[in-house]
Amino acid sequence: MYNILICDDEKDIINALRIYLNDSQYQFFEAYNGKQALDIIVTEEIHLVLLDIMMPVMDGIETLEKIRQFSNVPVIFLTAKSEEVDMILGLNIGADDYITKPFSPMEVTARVKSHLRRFLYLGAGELKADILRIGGVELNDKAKQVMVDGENISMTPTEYEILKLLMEHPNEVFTPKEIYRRVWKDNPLGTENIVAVHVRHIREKIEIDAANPRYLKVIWGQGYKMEK
Amino acid sequence: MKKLMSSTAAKIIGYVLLVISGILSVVSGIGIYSAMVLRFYNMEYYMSDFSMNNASDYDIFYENLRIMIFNFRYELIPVFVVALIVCISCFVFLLCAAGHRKEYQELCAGTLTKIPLDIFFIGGLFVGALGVASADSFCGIAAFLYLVLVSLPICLVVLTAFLADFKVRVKLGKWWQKTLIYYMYSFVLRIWKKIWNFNKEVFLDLPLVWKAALVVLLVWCFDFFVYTINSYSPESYIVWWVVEKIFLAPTILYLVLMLRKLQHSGEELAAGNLSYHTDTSNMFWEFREHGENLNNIALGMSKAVEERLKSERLKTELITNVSHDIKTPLTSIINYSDLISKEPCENERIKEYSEALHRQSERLKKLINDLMDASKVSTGNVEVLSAPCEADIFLTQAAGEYEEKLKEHELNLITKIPQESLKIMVDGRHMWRIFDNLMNNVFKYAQSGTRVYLTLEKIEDKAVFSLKNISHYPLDISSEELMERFVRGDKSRHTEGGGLGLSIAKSLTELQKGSFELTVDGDFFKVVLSFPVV
Repeated sequence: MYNILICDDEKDIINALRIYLNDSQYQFFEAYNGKQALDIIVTEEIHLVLLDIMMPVMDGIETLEKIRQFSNVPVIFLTAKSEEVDMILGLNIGADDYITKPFSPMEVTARVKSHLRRFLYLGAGELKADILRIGGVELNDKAKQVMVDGENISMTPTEYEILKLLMEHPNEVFTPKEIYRRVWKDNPLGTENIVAVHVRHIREKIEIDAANPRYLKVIWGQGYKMEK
Repeated sequence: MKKLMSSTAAKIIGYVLLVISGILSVVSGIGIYSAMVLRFYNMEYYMSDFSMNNASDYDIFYENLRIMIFNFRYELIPVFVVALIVCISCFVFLLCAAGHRKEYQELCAGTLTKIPLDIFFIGGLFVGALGVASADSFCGIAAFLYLVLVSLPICLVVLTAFLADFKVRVKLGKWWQKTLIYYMYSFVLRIWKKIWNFNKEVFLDLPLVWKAALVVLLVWCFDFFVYTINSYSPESYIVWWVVEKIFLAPTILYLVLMLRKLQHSGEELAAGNLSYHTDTSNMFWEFREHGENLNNIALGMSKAVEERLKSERLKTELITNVSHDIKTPLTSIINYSDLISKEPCENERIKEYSEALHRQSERLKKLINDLMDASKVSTGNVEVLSAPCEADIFLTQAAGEYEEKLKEHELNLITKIPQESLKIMVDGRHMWRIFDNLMNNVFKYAQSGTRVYLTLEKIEDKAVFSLKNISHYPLDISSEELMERFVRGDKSRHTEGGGLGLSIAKSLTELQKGSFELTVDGDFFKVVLSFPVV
């Protein structure tokens, strides 16, 4: 049983989220401003918070600052503020994720699931041999298996090789040519387009939103990297 | 005492007493003096020498008078002393009483004071001199009597009156202003000032050209004058020439300096430095006017620029705020329309309607996001983090991202990338946004079954991207119109999209110092982006 707190001043949005997240495993708590949310977090055992920013009485930013003083519960901002500065501010003060309204229900569901799993089951730091891990992505070279947030992902051999290369060198940028040379073991002759296609596929598999990747980042004009 | 001083009768009596005691003291003084002198000259001898026989009546009278004075010489001394004391005290009283009147507490000017001081002084001198000189027509004892009885009182009265009046004037202050000389001086000064002002006004009102002509004419006249008076001595002519040049050279230099200052401020304004202030404190005439005009232009322009920036910022803020407010209800609309469409329902029409609702609300979402972006991008409210970007790699990446999607739309993507690597300074995320917008247009508008060309070339020192495709709908509008906000390729507007994509792409390209060109030729659509190679 997971306790999820949804905090938004708009009751319709809370209801819609409850319907989308509908799962026998979830129990929901509702708050209509930051103060109510804080009260609930103090009294109940909450596993995840969906937090709006623009609310009466106490806004989301202030609420999160207060939450972070005593709890490391995953907090996902769910807000109409879509500017980059707002997103950076939100993440900097301790949010685990940032989803802008109008959100896609599938995305919210996926992210909630991912954060719950990571928070409750995948403790940080326990490194097994032959397992590469970046964030929620795990690559088991022995079993030739890729897990994202604890879920098995099926991949083609080429996709697997590319992901392995990138995960072995986290934060390092590889050009498409370099990837081609290393994975295909051949010289690219104007065929490096294929690398981009494969990377796109990998992103679609391991990322919740392929256009806004968390792990496999596209550095435009330079290459690709796995970000730790 | 005060009462006494302010009464006119006391003053008249004072004058009478002054005259009488003055006469008395002078007469007795002369008597005493002559008695002393006569005594000095041994009276006995003098008397014996005097022959009574051939003496006239006048001589006898005169002689008898002398003897009488001589005999009364000791009695004359107290008379003289008393008369002198009375005379002096009257004089002092009159001086003190001058200016005091019955009705006034303060010192006030009398009738005499109205006469200009210098006229009064000269008049007094004249009257006194006349009084003395008129005694000339008499002789002997008559002349003496005339001097004592007429000239002396006149002189005494005039002198006392003058001194009394002078005292009043000094006490009243600024006595020198009530003189004929001062009147004349101030009159001349006033006239001179008027002439000067008039000339100045006329001169200042003249246009600059006429002013310059007048100055040149004056210089010529001066030259001619100097030449004429010195035509016989070249040495002094040279001296005059040097003097003239000493005056002329700094004047011309000063004018040139003022011009240079004005020119400099004009240059600053032209360069867009609107905060530049021209210092006009050392300028004159049209130069100062011109400098002030320049300052006013700068002020007006900076005000206008400020206003425009402010209104642009307000516009962006408004759009951002409104977008935020719209997004919240829109979230509910999207979510619930989605939920409705997912509900099991027998009625096919309800399903159809809810799908339309969901599709359109998704479109509204995209439109609002685009609107926000477009407003931010067009006002330059976007951060540009320029970094070296390899154009060829970028193109490979972009093509890879879209290859599958293009295949879905039955479009064949053909890329052409040069062998050499081309580096450009751009912000990768913005570049991606530009290409994303362009490629989305391709999906929306390209005729399926055709080829889409995406090429990169190096032309001169520019990296040139070009994207070519064939439109599905007839492009019946010009390329300029296409790039405007809210304009879409199909006028009937039955396709998806908000018409902001090209506008955003263009603004972003220009923000990164690139150029964005769009060509429409029939159904042929071509976009050319060029960025300087580093």
